[in-house]
Amino acid sequence: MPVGRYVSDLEEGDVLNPVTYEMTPFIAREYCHGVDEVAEVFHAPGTEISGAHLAPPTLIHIDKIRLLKANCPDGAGPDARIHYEYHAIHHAPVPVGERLVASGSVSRRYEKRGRAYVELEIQLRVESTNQLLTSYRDTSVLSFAAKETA
Amino acid sequence: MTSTRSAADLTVGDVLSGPARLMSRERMRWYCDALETTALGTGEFVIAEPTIHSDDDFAIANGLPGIIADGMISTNWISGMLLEQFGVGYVGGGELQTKFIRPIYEDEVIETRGEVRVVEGGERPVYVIDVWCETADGQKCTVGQARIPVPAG
Repeated sequence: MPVGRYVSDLEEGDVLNPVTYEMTPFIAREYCHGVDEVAEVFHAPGTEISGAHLAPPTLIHIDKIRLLKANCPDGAGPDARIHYEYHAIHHAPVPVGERLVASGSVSRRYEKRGRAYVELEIQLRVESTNQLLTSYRDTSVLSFAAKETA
Repeated sequence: MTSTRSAADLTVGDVLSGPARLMSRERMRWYCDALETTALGTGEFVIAEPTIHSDDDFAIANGLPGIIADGMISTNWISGMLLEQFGVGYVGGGELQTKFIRPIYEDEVIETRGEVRVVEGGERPVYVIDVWCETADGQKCTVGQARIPVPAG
């Protein structure tokens, strides 16, 4: 059951339905391709700095996208959403090949200078052990153009 | 290119730097497509729908002068600089916060920087590092802070 039709429908306190997926080599490598990340640890197992194939920690941002697509299936809303702040805490490396669970909630919704902001708190865990890998706070502006207020 | 010192030997004031990169229209679109492709996660490649990062008309309709880069591109460039300096200690125990204070427009040259602000002591010492991306004329676009455990020397 979606939480909102649009992301702009989200309200403070809303709990998002979690999303479970496998962190495949394809996901890690394709994300790296999109951001010029050539570090071998994200492309292959058994590198000098890690014996394992790891996912870039910034992929937590894609967990936000997954959660929003699953919980607000009709997209951003009347205006484009603009990312404003990223804040990730890496508790442990994210291993490629694991099944992961992304969960999240709306921690704040507020207005500043005529613009609506939404803050999400997201956690990424290993499905089989519940180990917390990443905590993430994401702040977005729901529309760049400030609205007239009555 | 990062600091010439090893990750265990940094001190307050030491500077990190990444390569200068052109924020091309293609780089902006690559991220849009990668975002949709990785979010889908099936192995199928996705061409993203028009966004403020890939379509001028869409961006203008949303109050922007033209397309702007997704903030996660510059965040990833900062993250890459930190990985190069600190290795898996950053990925497995670090923290990165970035804020997008000025849009990055097409064809701006962007440099990635960091400066060690504090070395917190205690049982598990931590570097507190100011990080940012700036244009060739020094305008900061993406700013933030990283906290990374000091590796054992």
